[in-house]
Amino acid sequence: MKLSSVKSGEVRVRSVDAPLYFRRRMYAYGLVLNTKILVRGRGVYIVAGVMLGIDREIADKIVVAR
Amino acid sequence: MKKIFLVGNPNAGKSTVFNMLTNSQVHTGNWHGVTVTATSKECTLNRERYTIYDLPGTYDLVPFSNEERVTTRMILDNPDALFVNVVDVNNLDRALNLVCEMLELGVKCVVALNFVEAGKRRGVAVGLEALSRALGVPVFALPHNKKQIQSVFSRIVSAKITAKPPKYLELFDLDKIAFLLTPYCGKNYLKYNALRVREGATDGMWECKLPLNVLPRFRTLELTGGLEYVVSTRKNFIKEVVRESKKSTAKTPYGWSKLDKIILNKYLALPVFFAVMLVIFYLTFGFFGGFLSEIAEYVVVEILGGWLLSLLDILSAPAVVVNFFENAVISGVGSVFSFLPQILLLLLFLEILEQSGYISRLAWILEPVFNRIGLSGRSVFGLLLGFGCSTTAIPTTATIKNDRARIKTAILIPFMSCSAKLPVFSVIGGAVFGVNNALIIFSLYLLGVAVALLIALILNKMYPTNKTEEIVEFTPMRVPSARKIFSIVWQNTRQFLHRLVFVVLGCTIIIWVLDNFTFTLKFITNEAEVSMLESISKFLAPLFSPMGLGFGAVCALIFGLIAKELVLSSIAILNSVTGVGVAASIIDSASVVCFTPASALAFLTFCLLYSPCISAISQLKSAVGGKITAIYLGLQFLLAYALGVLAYYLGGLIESVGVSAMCWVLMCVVFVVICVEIALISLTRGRCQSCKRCQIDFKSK
Repeated sequence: MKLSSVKSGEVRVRSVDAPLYFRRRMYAYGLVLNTKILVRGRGVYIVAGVMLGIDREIADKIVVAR
Repeated sequence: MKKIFLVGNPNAGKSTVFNMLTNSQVHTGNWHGVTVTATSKECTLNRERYTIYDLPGTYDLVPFSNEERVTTRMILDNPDALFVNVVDVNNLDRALNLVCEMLELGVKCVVALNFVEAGKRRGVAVGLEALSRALGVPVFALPHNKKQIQSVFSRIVSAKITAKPPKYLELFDLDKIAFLLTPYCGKNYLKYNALRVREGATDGMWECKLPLNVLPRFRTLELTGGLEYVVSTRKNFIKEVVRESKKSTAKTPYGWSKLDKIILNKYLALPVFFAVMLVIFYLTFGFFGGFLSEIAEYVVVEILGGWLLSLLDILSAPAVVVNFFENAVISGVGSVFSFLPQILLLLLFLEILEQSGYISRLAWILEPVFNRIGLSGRSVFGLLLGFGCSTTAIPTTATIKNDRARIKTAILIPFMSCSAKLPVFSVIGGAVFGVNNALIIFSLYLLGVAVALLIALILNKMYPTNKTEEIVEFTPMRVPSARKIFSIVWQNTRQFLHRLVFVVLGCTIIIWVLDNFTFTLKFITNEAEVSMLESISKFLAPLFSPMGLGFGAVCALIFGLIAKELVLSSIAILNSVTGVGVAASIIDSASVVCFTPASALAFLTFCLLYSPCISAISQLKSAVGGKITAIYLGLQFLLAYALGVLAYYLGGLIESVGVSAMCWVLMCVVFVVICVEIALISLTRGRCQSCKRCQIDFKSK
């Protein structure tokens, strides 16, 4: 499922469905495969222990699983 | 001279370290992207001279924006220099990504851990030796003390540092790729480009002209895995390093604060923002700021000015000298100086917002709103700082990744009323509108925002901006220390006094000379003689007559092009104001510059919207280019002129109802305009959500 569809709880990154240039940057932000993401609220996530605001278009590209 | 570069993730504290190391006053803030260009200064370490460079922060060596490009270029072009990687211990995993990328390139690198004490308080402890052993580079902890930082850097430069690539690099087979790339790119860029090829793409390559027929030769190398393989290998290494060196019992995520429940709440976020801004403006322009300004005016103009004039009287100075000190120095400079407390108060509040960490949340809150008018959430940094000074605000747009959003933000910043315009609004508004002055000032600030929104809406229709990716890292909420606040106040005071002495006083002398001498350089002693300034201004005055402005006001506006502070000092000189009473003289019909409520309104509107000062224009030129700047300045003048004329006629129509009612009506008009614009913005959808035709602008280049 897409990260944008998750309303709460904890998920793990399965893949980033985007061009290479963008994937590289996502990985630099810490959104690598199997990273734990805690959904804090609308658009606010805790990625590897750090608070991030990720907009909807990007959250749509991140495929996660519980 | 040897070079030391400070590199690291954004908001890791590089500029603070740079300031402590080199005794500089580089701008620092608690948000990402404060530093947008490389700054350098020399310093002595172990009796040897070094040039220290403070580079913009980056997460990755493949640049996404202009300021990240600066960092990558510096790293690639200086392979023999020493790079000090400033790492926030609270965010070690992410910071090590950049460290590893640099080690892969084979640059000489050390790790300097920052925020060690703050980390300990959160329960995060990093073993220096364990980290150094695992990474294979020297690791130092950075103290928060100037002397101790210099001693740490002395140890850094005397440490034996070798460029040791990480073990996992052997798995990437970079030598084979580099061999194929050798004829097509420079030696410095070979490893960097080889890594890009290893990741599976040639789009991020650095100054490498690769012919199409070469690409199939890479396939023969049978490189498996691509980007995901490279990243997972690197991440596994980082995971191992962190496991060996870091112990964490932190219960809260980094950057999280209890206040976030309110600040980031979808219903409360915007009302909280407006309430914060209202409090800031009320304290600055209301009773508190006004009281401080009155004290400053009394001290400078009455007491110091009185002493100076008494001294000249005792010395029996010639009339021309007395006239100069009375009109140019005391009236011209003194009238501007009296607003120092209010300007400092506004800048102080903006600094507190910057240092507290609220500003990074604001970028996130306003992102969906700004996206609808073709701006980026990061535009808020520049627009907010624009209330302080456009010259310092415009360079912050470099952090905006989308070029169109960056240019739009840069050209909207001058519409935010800067602190230098505050004395003009206060004095002229106070003189003409009396107790309703606060309403007029508030209306003018709102008008600036309304015009900026309108222009953003129009520009978005003409040149729509594709949505760029936006990830905002929330910086930790911090209470700015008293020492830092004092340092900021002192720094701003120094800058203001420097500007007052070298720009305002210098130009005031020129204005005084132009106002008191004829073209034959004869000092004017009777009213029949015409000064140089009067001749020039009278030539231009007919252009401004539709706004009801006389030649004196026109003259003040011309000098306002150099610096906005000069508008008020020009008026003070032209009206030959002595002692406290610039405001009183403005409505005195015997004065050269006199206003009716309608013409004052037109003057203030024009002053708000016309061209920014010379230094802001030069920053704008470097941010958006000469051609756009020239077109923009022309259109801005026309807009200011049109709205000035409109304000004059509107003011004339409602003048009959009384000044108080007029101020309320005007504020309501501006407020209604803003409400209409907000309604239009809420009806406009973000480009990607509405048309579905455009893709996210991952990278336009």
